[in-house]
Amino acid sequence: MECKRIEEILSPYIEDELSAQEKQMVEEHLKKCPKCVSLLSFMREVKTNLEGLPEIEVSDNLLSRLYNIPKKKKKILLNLNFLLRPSVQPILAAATVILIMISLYMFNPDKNLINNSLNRRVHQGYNSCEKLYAKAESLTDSLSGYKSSALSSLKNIELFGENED
Amino acid sequence: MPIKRIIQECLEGKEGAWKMLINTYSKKIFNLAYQFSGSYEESEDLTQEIFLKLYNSLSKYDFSRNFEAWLITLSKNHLIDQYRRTKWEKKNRDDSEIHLFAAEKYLTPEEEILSEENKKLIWEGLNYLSSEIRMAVILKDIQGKRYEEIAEIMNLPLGTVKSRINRGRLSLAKILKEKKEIKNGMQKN
Repeated sequence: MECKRIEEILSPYIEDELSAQEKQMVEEHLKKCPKCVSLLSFMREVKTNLEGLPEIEVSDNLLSRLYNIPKKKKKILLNLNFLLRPSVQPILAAATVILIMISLYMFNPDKNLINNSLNRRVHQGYNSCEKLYAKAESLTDSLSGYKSSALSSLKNIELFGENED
Repeated sequence: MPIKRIIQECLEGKEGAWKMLINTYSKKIFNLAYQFSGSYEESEDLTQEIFLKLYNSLSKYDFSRNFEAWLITLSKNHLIDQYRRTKWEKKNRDDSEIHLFAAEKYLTPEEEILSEENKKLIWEGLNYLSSEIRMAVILKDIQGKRYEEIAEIMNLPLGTVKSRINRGRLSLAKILKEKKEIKNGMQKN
């Protein structure tokens, strides 16, 4: 059996997990290979020394930090709980939409084009309003004129034929 | 009190339950973090992060599962994620004498010297193992878990776990052998 193959099964050999046949093959190889014998010895040392590594105690400072985890969580939750109320949700949704629109505007590479377009539309709107106002004024004047004519026509109506005599 | 009852009481917010959980598992998780990272200060922060994750995900715990295995899986995932982000292998491990051997008691001075020397080399050698192999070796040889438990924790087939542990031990053995040969060579000169 080659050294490479032996290396792959040294751990189960140490833990006595090989079949009788595999175990015999390993032992046959070890009789003629000092390199693998040495490697086996070091592997046993590694296992023994790792098993012997002691556990270290947790410091009081760390224990205190761990005990306080729920208190820290509670503080954060208390401050933000109002955001979970149903009545606040539409406001949050509207605020989100507005923030997204503002972000799209603020970080748009064609911001100047947008500004110019908005300015044009505002001025167009203003001009339209001015024209409408002017039209409304002339309509008011026309209506006043009709009102005067209507009133004077009404005054001249002969209700009981007075002018025939 | 059985652990599942402690967890239930934690979920109900009962006074003292969380503290009981910490007292039961903090040492194990802290040592896992320390053995994996090799840094005492780093492992304190890591332990706090792990228990914070535990606190946030306790409601998702499946009571049919073994709690310790679930907690160690959570810890393993966090430790390996942090390792990949920070690449601890570039940093040296703590001097093992500071924390590890202070706790040791030896029978003879010779035993003390030999034992400390080997342990020091193996402790430093852990840094040369990949995160997955390092974790497998720590869980088996330091934490004493069975192969089946490690397969469950790491979510790997049993054969893969055994192969990784073998590779880890082989690597450490070769490192130990090489360093001792260098030392013996220097002593002869």
